[in-house]
Amino acid sequence: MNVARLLAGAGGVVVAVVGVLVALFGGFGGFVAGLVSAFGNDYFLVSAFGVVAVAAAAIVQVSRARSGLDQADPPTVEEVHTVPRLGADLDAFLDPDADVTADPERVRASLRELAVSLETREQARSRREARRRVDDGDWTDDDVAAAYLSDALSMPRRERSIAGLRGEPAAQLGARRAGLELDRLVRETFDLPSPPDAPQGADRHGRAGATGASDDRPGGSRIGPQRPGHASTEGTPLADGPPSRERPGDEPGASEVAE
Amino acid sequence: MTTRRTHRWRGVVAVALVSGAVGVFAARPALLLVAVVGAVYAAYPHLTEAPTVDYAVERTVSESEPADGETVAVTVTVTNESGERHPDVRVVDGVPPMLTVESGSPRHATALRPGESATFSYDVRAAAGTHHFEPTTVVARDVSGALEVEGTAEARTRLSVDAPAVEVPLGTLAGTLPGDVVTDRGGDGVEFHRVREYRQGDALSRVDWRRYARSRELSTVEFRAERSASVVVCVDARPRAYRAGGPQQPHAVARSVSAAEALVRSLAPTTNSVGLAAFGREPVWIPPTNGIEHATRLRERLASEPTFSAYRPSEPRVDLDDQLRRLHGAIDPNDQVVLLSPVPDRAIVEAVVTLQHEERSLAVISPDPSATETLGERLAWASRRIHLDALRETGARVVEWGPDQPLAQALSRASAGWTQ
Amino acid sequence: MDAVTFRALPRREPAALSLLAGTIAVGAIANAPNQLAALVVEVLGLAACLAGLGWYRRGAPLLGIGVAAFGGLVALVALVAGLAGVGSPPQVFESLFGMLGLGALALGLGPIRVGSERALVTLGTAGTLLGVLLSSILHGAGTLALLVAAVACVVAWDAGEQAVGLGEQVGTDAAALRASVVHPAATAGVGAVGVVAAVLVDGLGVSGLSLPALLALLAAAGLTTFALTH
Repeated sequence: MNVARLLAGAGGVVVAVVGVLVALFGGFGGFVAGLVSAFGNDYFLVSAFGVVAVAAAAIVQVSRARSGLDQADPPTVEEVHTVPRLGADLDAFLDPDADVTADPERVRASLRELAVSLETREQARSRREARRRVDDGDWTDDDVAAAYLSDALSMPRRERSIAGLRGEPAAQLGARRAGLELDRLVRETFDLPSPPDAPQGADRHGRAGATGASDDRPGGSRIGPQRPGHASTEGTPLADGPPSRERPGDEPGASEVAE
Repeated sequence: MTTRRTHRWRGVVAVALVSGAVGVFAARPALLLVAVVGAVYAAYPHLTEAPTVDYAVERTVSESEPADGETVAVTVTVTNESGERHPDVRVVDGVPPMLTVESGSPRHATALRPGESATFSYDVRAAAGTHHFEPTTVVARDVSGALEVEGTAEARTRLSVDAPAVEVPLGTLAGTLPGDVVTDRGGDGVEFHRVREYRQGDALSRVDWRRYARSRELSTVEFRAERSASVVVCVDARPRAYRAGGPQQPHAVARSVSAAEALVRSLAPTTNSVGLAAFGREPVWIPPTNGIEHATRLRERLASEPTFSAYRPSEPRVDLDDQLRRLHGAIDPNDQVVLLSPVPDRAIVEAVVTLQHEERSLAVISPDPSATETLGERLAWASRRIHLDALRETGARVVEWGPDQPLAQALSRASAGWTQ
Repeated sequence: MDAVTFRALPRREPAALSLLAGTIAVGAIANAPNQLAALVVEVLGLAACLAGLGWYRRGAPLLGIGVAAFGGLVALVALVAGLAGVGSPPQVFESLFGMLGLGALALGLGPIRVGSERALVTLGTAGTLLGVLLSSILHGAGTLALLVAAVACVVAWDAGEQAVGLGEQVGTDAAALRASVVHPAATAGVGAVGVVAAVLVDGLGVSGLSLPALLALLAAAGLTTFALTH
């Protein structure tokens, strides 16, 4: 490209000199007369240059539009360096537009671990027994959630195809349903109030769109003070105030059916 | 220094071409003259040279050791030392990553002759910990704006917000051997052990005079022998420990580092030995020694080592097993360990189990990075609670440290709940 | 938490210069007093609109929206009135592009929509340039007026892009007076050089050139211009 420009520049200088000489001393009359008859009349001949110029201008504009400006991008120093929230990887896995990359295996492993721990804790079982229950899918009524966390069960075909039509991969479907089930169990175990627009229970007939992740964007629904009540036995010094036990009424939750 | 072609003048050639074309089509020679102007503009960006970014920066702060939450005024002066005229230079100061700007702007744009300076100022709000200013970004453009050069200038400035001194309840925090009391003073004990018969040579201050007054028997009160502790402060600075509960909150690693500083500072004047370890970008291990100088070295490492950086690392994970094995090999069986970690996963629980044995129990100070707004956050919150309970079950002492809570309060509340 | 947030919006000083240059670009080729009057009213309306947008973003949303809407309305009325007052349909087009271009320029500098600033600034100044070309074709505007207007178009674009770029790198809260003024002044200076060059070329008597010479010079100009592309 640079060679072309250099040649064009050199050529331009040469032709300019020729033009000045022709202007001063004349010449090339016959050559130009031939061109004029080729184009029809002198106006068309001169216009040809104009057409070329417009084409060149268009090309320049297109290339400009395609590759934008290149300028420095200083860091945003006014704010605290942002890091992800704890649990952002699951939210990112369920909502692929987020900018935290999520490892599907790790997401599943941590959900499975949570299920096993909840079973151990709540039902006072041994870990081995809890693991067996998770593998058998006995920890929940939701088939999809059970299948996702189990090493043995496979996901119900019907649910999987419905999700596939929606464009949702099986792993994401499983994670979402397992997440909702675990959320319900967590709220029961730890006495958390329900957020206003989360469903009160997992609906196993594929009611999509009521994901906590997509509804509860930061700035959206908040549960109130961020220190929920806890069921721990020791004098753990979580911040002030008694555990918040209020449940905001019986709101069936605005679960949109995003199908 | 990065030099860029901005390409902002790319379209101006079209002015010349279109004017010329229209002038030709419409037979208006005046437009051909407009095309000449366009051609001059097309040549303009090629005629300028890229500036050289060679700047000096001076920075002063109104208070270099402010209190937590205090407003600190920062004044920055940049000087053009390149020897060229810079008609368009933009400056962005390197505010420390964990601080917010309260008023004013850390940015400035101006034109500077050679040797000329520009000054601007802004306010930051101090937060706990030691904060280093980053290099100042300087972006200079040639007069047409077609070439841009980005560089940095550095002025090393530090803001130390020392959290109020923490009373380290080492006796209960670090775990004790039966019969021994570990204190932060070392030396003669204060805890009653027993009364025994007076022996020749016992100090008169130790005689139990009340008993003598009652029964005319001389007896000596014996206190528990005290010994100095050897404590390793271990910071979990793995990538997944960089979590915060809200947009303007310092993340768990920054809080852990400031807690580590507080612990080191509190233990420095005592006879106890302090060492430093970390899991993260690069493992850190400094064996425990006592003394003020050593403590100062530790605090320098906490302030400068990349592992403790306030910036989240770019690698998604580190090999905890390997780093844990190295620490386990290096640590002495008598060393007590205080782990600072948000406990974001099960792996750190298992690390604690590995480090524990009969002669040593761990303490875990856990800054709380959790939130409960979204589904993922709630599940992670629950997982963390379960991990913390699992830690307690292993016998480790767990201190939960809420986001707006002073460390001293968290320590005292936690230790009140422990049995001796 | 009262931390400042960084706002990457076009800066006001170069934006004002850009609007001023755009006004000159449209005004220099206006050929009727009522056109000029309509232009002035339009620009005042646009300035009010921009001020309103600024207030809207800085914490006086109601006042801002009100002033912006009022300003926008004034500008629109001026535009329509200016067009209606012009005589024949072709001349409508000439004023249309110029005044619409000014409107687009102002909207880009507002900005009415973050992300479209540069596109609107370019579109707006292209519109004013089109107005310049049309005014030459349609009623043969004077050479000097054309040249000045063309320079003003480029200065308007340059100051507008500078406003956007400075806003992206330095924000709206920082001080940036010198950088905002020196750069457009330089561009205007280059434009003056261009005008002088054009007048000199004119003095050489290009209009009376023979066809071969004209063709050669056009070809030379084309080649050189191509060589000057980025």
